[in-house]
Amino acid sequence: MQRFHAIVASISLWMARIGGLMLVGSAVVITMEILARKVILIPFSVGTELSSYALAISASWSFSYALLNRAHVRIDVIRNWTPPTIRFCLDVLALGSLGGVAMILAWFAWDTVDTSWTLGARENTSLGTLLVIPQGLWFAGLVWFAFVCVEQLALVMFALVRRDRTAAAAIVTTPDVSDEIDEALEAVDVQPVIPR
Amino acid sequence: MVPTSLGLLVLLLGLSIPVGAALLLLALSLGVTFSPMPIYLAMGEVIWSASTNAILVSVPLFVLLGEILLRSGMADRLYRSMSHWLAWLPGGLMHANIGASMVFAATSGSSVATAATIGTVATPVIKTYGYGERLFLGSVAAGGTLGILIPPSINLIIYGWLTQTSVPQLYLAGFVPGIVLGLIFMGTVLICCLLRPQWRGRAIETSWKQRIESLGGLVPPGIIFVIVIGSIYAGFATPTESAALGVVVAIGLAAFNRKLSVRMILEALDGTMRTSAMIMLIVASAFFLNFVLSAIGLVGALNNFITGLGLGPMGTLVAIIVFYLILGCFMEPLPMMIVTIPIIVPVVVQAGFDPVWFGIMVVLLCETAMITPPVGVNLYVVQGVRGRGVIGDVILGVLPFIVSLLVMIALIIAAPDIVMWLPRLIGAQ
Repeated sequence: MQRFHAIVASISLWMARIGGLMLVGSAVVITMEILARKVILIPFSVGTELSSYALAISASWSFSYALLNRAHVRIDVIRNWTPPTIRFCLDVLALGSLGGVAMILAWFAWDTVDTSWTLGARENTSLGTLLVIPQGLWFAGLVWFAFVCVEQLALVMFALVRRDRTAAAAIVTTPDVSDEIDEALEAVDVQPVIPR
Repeated sequence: MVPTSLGLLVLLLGLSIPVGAALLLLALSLGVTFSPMPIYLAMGEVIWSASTNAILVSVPLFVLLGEILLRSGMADRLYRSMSHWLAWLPGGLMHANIGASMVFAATSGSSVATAATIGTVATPVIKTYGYGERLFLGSVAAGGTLGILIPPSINLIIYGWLTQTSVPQLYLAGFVPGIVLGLIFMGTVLICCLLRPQWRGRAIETSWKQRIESLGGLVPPGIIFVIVIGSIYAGFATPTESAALGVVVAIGLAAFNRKLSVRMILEALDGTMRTSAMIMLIVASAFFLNFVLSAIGLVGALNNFITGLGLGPMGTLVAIIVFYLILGCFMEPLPMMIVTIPIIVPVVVQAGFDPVWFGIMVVLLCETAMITPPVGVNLYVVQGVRGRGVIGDVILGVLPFIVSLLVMIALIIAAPDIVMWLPRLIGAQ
C-alpha cells in the first residue's frame, strides 16, 4: 500500500515539475521571440499560444501535487475550533469535495476534447494547432487529479477499517502553519547580514 | 436569489471546503436552481478558455520569478545597501526593512516572498543592536505586504483579468501609493521610536564611502525591474511577455551568483506549482461562477439590493471596506479577492468609482488582510523566520502598521489622485 502511494506521489510530483518546465520553456520561447522582433526584426508569434497551453496543462497536471501537499486553500477558522471527530469529518468532506469537483471537471473536459476530436478543430493561428492535443493533455491531468482524490479517500477508508484513526486523520489533515513556514524558509538560502 | 447565493457561499466556505471546489459547487447549484437552461453544458469550454487565458499565463510566471529570486542570492546585498542608506534614522534597521521590502517588491509580485526574504536577512540583528523586538518584527511583516502593491503584482493581474481592466494601467496606479505607503510605514517607525526611545536601538556606523560602495546591491533588482516593468511601457512586451523576460533574466542572475543548479530549479518549480495549481483551480472555478452569475442575473439583483439600501456612493464604499477588513481577518487575501471581485466591482463602478482606483483599494485591503490576526499569512511567515518566542509579539508589533494601512486607505479616498495621477499622466496603453 505504501509502495503504491509512493508511486502515486512521485508521479504527481513529476507531472507538476514537467508542467513547470513547460512554463519555463514558454518563457524562453517568448524571450527569443521578443529578441527576434527587436534585434533581427523578424516577427514570429508562437510563444503566446504555446504558453497558454502550458498554463492549462501545467495547472491540471499539478492539481494532484497540490492536493498531496494540502495546498488547495481552505478557510479553516471554524474547522480549527471543532473537536477532533468533527474536524476529521470536515477534512474528509474537503477531500471528497475536491474529488467530486475533479470528476465533474474531467467529465465536462471530456466533452470539449470529444467535440474538438470530432470536428478536427484547429486553433485559428499561424500554428493551427490541432486543439485535441493540448486539450487531451489537459484532460489527462484532470483524470489523474480525480484518481488521486479517490486514492486518498481509499487510503482513509483502509486506515479506518484497520481502526487506525491517527493514520486516517494524518492523511486528510491540513498542514501545520509551522510546516509551511519551514518549507518556505528552506528555500531562502541567505546569510544574515550585520552591517558594519 | 441574493440571500440564497451568499448563504450557500458562506456555508460551503465555512465547512472548510477548499475554495476552488466551493466556487465550482456553488456555480453548479446556482445554475441548476436559477437558470432555465442547462448552463453546466458550457462548463468544459468556459473552463478551457479561462485556463488558456494569455493574461493569466503571467501568474505562474511571476510566482516562479519570486521563487527564483528567493534563491538567487540577491537579498543580502540589497539589505546591506539599504541599511547603509537608511539606518541613521531613529529606528535604524527598521527603516532598512521597509526600504529593502520596497525594492524587492519592485521585482516580485508576491508579498510572502518579500516578507520571507527580507525577514531572513533582517531578524538576526534585532538583539545585536537592541531594537524593540516587537516593532522590528512588525516592520518586516508590514513591509512585506508592499510586494503586491508595487508592480509587478499577481493580485493586480488577477484583478485586471476579472474586471477587464488594463494591467499596465493598474501597475502605473500602484506605483505612487506603493512609495507613499512605504514612507508612511517609515513614518510610523519614526513616530514609535520618538515616543518610545528604548525601541530605537544603537546607531549603526556608516560612511559615504560605504554607502556608495553598497549601491552595487541595488543593481540586480534594478535590472529586473527595468526589464519587467520597462519592457511594458517601452511598448515591446505585453505584461505576460514581460513576466517571461523576468523569469529568464532571474535565471541568468542566479547563474551569475553561482546559485543555479538542477536542484535549485526543481525546488523553485515545486514551490511554484504548489501555489499556482491552487490559484488556477480557484481562478478557473471563479471564472465559471462569473459566467453563471451573469447568466442568472445575480449581479444586477445585488446591485438593486445595494442601491435599495440607500447608502449613497460613499456609504456603499465604506460598507464594502468594512466588509473586506472583517473578511480579511479570516481569509487569505488572494482567494478573498477572487471570490468577491466579480460581485463587488460592478456595484462599486455603478456607484461611480473608477475600477483602476478600486483595484488599488482592493490591494490595500489585501495587504491589511495579510497582517490582521488570526489569519494573517505574513505574521506567520515572520514568526517562522524568527524561530523563537510567541506569535503574539509579531501581532502586537504589527498593530501600528495596521493603523498606517487604514490611514493610507483613508488617504486614497480623500485624494484619489495619489492613485490616478500617474495612469492619467502616461495615458491609456
